[in-house]
Amino acid sequence: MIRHLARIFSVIIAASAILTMIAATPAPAQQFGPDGAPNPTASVESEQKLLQQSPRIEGQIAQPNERERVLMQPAGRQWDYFHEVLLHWLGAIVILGMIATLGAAYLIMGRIRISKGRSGQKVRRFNAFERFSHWLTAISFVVLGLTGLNITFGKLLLLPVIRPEAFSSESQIAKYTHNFVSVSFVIGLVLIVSIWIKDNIPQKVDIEWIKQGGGFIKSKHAPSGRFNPGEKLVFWFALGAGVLLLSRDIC
Amino acid sequence: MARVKFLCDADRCIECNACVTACKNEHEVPWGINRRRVVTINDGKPGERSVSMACMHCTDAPCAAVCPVSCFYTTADGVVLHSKDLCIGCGYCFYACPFGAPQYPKVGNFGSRGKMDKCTYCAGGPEDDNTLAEYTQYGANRLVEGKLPICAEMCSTKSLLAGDGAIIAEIYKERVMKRGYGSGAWGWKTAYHEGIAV
Repeated sequence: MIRHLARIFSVIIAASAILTMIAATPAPAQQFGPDGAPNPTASVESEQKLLQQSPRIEGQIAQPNERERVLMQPAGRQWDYFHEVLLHWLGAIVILGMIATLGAAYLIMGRIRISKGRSGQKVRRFNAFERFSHWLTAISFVVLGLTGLNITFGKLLLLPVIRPEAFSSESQIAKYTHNFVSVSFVIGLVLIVSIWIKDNIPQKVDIEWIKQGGGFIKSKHAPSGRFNPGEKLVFWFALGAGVLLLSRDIC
Repeated sequence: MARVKFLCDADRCIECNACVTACKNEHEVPWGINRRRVVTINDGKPGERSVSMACMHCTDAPCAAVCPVSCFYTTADGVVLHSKDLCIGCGYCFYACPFGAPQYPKVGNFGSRGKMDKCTYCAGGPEDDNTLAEYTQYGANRLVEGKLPICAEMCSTKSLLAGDGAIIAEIYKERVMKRGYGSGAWGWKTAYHEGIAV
């Protein structure tokens, strides 16, 4: 019984293999036109088929310029859509949404005051090197953010207000600033990660902090290590977002 | 008004590069930039086709859409031009262009590309027509003199056609009918959102 089935199975396999081979051989009749002469278009790649080739369609060129070998880069359309549509919506929602959220938080919770008032005594929390690294990263980030916003939203918000020549001059400066300040941002990022990563590893006491809602829900002051989970979240988010930005914008 | 286009008949192009040389000479194009170039697909194999490629002057030009300083404008004839005075050399138009037409004279680190240069359909730029200022920046302005782009005029096999879109589409259709084959009007679907039905 099993042998019988095995025999049928092998026959089916062999038959399908042969059929596939027959289907795969190109039919010679397609190379000739209806009048028997060779059909020159038969072996030509159609534009549609080439458009599936991504990221770009390249050929040979007489000039020694590699970049000009590109005949078409279909990815340009995605690039256009991302930068003109997605980025505008994402940027607007994230930035305006954040401002709205912070405003709402302030209106609802008000200022968070020190419960017994200022004592007048100071305790050093961060040494000079830590402060330097932080401010290097922070100022670089703000400068990068503003110049970057100029590229994305400048023509929508600023260009209607100032003349095109003024806007172009300002954008030139902004472009160079953005490109060079990125170096200090990366250096700052590397510094703060290397200094603070060991204090930002999640600990057991973090669970207690979260249970007390960071001091908002149960008590007025929740226990934590050097950094509480809120600060740790900021650290990891800054690290992740920074690396993401780096990898994307390095092009 | 006529809507001008380019059409390169890939079955006639013999890769002589006359269009490249004519354009480069006519406009004194900077070193390292070729506004027009001939790209050959399947070089040496059956089905080899050469296409002369430059700015296609697209309908809804993506370069104009992504420019952060809006330095592009489209003339009444459908020619897509830009202002080198406003250009900041950011490179966005090159990334968005499906044909890679915008080019930059300098290769520098940290974004020092220089001002973008591309095929102007021999229509100059925003400066006053036929002035030295226009010539130094954008090259000759043939369109205002009533002439067609020099690349198409110099084409040795008349594979590169330039002029009113409807007329050159008609010429191409006649050719395909007469000889019985045609690989299609290359780039028309992408640039003008229409093919040529033969």
